[in-house]
Amino acid sequence: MTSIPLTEEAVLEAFMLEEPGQAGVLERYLKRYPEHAAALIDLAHGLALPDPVHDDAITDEEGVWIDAAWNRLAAAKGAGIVSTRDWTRIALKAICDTLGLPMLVVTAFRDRKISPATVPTDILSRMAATLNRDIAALADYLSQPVVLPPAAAYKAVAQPKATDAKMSFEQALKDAGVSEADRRKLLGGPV
Amino acid sequence: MRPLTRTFPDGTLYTRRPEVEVQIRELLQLSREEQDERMAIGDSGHRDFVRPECLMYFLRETRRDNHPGRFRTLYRLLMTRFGKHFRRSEVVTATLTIVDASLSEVRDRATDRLMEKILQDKQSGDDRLDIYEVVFAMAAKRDRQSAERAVGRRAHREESLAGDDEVREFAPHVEKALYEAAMALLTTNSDVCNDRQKVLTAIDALPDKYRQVATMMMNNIQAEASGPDAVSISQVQKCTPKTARARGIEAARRIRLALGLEEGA
Repeated sequence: MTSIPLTEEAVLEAFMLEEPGQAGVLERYLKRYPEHAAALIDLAHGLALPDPVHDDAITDEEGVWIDAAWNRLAAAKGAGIVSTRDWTRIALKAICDTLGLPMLVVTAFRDRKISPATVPTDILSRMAATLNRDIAALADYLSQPVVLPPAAAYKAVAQPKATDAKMSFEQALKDAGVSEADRRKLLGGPV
Repeated sequence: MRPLTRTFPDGTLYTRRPEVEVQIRELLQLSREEQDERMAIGDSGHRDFVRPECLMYFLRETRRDNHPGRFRTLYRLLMTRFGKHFRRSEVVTATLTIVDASLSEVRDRATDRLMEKILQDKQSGDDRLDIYEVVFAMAAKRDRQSAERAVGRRAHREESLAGDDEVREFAPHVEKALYEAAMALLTTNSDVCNDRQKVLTAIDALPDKYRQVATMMMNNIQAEASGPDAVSISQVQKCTPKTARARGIEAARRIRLALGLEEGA
């Protein structure tokens, strides 16, 4: 180690990476980095303390927390990420108008019911542009588990899997009553 | 395999644990679907369970990989693992759900910090994530502690301190005996209390000053420096050796009380 002043983060990381159970490590670090004594002692205790790790499936509240963290990030970072907040009433209408899709299909996209792998790239690209996001961010969003209504999410016994209840783009068009000619147009290439 | 770039204070590079690298290589041999299947296993006792260090490796690899949805899927899996290192903020009883808002705040704060690093890494690289590929659980613990400090979860423990340790006076031979008993309780090889985890949990509930003293005693740091190069509790806490011993004795008394080994004060 050198005598160059280190940040607390660097000192704590070096401490974490010491051989576990080695005698005299805390004393050595306290001597070398007295300015970080409180944080080092806290960390030494924290690392020794039993972790509240639980292996059971995540709860509904935890599922909501994971999505909420993503949404906070989306709000902070902008274009790199698509979140449920992007699908405003105005955005939904704009997608309907731009792509010529029924509202039923656009809300199915919003609720992540449609598998992105079944959607032509051109459709994804134009939808992303309408949302003012990039196509990779939109594809990331659509690949996530289906969005459940809040009440259903609260009552769910287990967290839905990413593949749960996804349908193909073609099926969504059929369900929304889109004519065969329009379906061919939407699925076959540039609209 | 992508090497880590963060360095120790002496300039040497961080390296992943051998078992982590073995698992990453193993996963790299599989198809994307097979990888996803294995990564979705949440039971840490399962033989195909993927270590969180490996999940972090693959999450960071999405920088060079435009597979749709990969980043978000791995994000979700990784955050699930990260969240397991935090106490649950909801306790559901037969009749009601109790929510501890400060626990949610700790978790949210730690998560936001990790997410910020992940996004930074995705955009332009961030070696602060390297530690999560080496010792994920320890990094998560550190993040939790740092968030606890930030939201002041431990702050209330300071309030009751009020210098009550300084007023305790013991005859020298009594102090010596009590301090030796405190060391015996706290050092690893003690047979006074064979459940180290219970002792640690009791220490965790102590006010900061006593928790610090107990932690130093557990690490065999003496109240008074034995030589010019030695570190002592009195140096760290900027108090006299007598006060340091008094705090150690008091910490041990409180721990015994918490463990039911001593009658109430």
